[in-house]
Amino acid sequence: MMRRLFHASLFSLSLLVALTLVCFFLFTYLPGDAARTVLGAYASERNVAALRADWGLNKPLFHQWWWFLQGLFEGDMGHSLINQRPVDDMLISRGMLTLTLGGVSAVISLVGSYGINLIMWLRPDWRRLRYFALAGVLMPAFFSAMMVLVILGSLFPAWAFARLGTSLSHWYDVLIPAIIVALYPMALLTTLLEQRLQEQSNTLHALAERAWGYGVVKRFHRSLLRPAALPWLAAWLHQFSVILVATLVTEVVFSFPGLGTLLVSAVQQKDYPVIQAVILANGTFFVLLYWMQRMLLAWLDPRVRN
Amino acid sequence: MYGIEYLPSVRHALWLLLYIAILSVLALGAGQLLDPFAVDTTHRYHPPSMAFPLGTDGLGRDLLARTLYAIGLSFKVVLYALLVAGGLSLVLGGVAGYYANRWIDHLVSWLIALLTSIPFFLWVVALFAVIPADLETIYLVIGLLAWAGPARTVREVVAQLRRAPFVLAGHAFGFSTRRVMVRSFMTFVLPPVFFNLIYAIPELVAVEVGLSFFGLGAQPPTPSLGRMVYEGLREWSVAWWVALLPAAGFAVILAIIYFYSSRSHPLASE
Repeated sequence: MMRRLFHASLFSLSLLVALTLVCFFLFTYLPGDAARTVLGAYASERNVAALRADWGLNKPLFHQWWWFLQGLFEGDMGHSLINQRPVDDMLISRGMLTLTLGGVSAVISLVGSYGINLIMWLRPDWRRLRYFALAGVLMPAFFSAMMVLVILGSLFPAWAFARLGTSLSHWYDVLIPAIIVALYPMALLTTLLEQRLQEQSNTLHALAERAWGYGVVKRFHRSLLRPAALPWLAAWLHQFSVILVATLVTEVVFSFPGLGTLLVSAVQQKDYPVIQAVILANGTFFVLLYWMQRMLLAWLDPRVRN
Repeated sequence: MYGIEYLPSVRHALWLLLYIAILSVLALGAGQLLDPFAVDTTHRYHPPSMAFPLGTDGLGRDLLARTLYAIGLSFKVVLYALLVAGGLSLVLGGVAGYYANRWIDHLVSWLIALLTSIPFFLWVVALFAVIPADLETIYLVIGLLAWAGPARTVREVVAQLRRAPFVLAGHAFGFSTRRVMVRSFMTFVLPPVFFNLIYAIPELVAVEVGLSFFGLGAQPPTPSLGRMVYEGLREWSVAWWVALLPAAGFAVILAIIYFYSSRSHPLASE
């Protein structure tokens, strides 16, 4: 297990290094001469050269990348080209909100798919619930977000107007977008879990436990959910990237002050340090998630281990 | 075993691809006929009516024409991207599987892990934030990033088949490596890759739409669904239909694709 941990960690580390390299090349190297951009087209060649030397832009690329890494370790991701604010401040305040929104919707999707399946198990004539779940697959997040805005806007006009460009003040400001984001992953997880449970309910061990006289709820958890849980959890972890995209888009629709709205404005103003920071932070998060997922699955499932 | 169970459903999947291609051509043609670029300032913010079924936007452009044209473009981009991704995944995944556990396999597997561990959308946004986007670069870049998922499948299948009796027989007959790879593996590799790609369609469409939503896709005069929705959101209080109706049209199209692709699922019971 220790060996495995070591290997997985080394692997994830190599992915992180590659991520910083890609970001460095894309956002620091490719956009051209930063010194010339800052000083403008009419600056003298001497001043540009001086600034370039001052910023170390004439050093070898490897050095520049090393400084870039050092900056990252010290939490210094540069300043926004637009309002000169340090990027890491923005990233943390916005990122926490996005993390909350994404986290809440991840929990909703997991708990929701479990709950729907439990209800369908307890009340077989309520199986139509699954069509309700399917609706989530069919609607892209921004469409369902707009539908909710329309409906809520006609019910509570004041709330919908307040949503246009303000900060969060109530719990439902997070919960409503989170439910919208969760619709799609919840639908997928529900159908997946339903299939797995169906398979499990036909097995001999399920029959045996039924013969032993276990109760309905206990059988659901013991003989169905436990063997079905692993692919379900793995699929849940896979859905995180879907949740990310839906979160970013839904934020824009709801004017939710998270990373999505930050990214939109940064893209429109070509604010490269901010875009870079958003990509780096999310990329790091997902590499770590991938690492955790591998360790978790190896820990839960002996078959993966060898 | 060896992916045989996929074979009967390949026909379904082919139909889906053909269907999407036809839909793309039809949408592009209809959009072109209705002229998505015609500016008519006498009909600014015209609500949905018989003359303009989806209404008009702030420049008086017919939203039906723009929506159709944008859907056609999205599908076109996605189909081309699928071609690029499919070809790449066959070559790279095949080589990695054939030379399993050698350095080239480690390299390809590492690339696959790098591409799949970080969400697809982040890669696309990162690249297009720097590269200027036109339609060719969009499908090329999406294709260059989307090969990783199917390539993993190809690698698994080829690595499993490497020691299969008929492959060894091919080697014993003195067939060249290339012939063995193309003749023996292709039949088994193609169906699962096909399904991988088919299942990627809704995601790729969503990525393309999301890209233009964030202002990184096809640039303004060209209609793109994401951009229309984004701009429509800013005119929400003036004209709700500018954002809502194109989005609804898109949802309907996605639903159709979803039903087709779930019917062509190899594990679907019927």
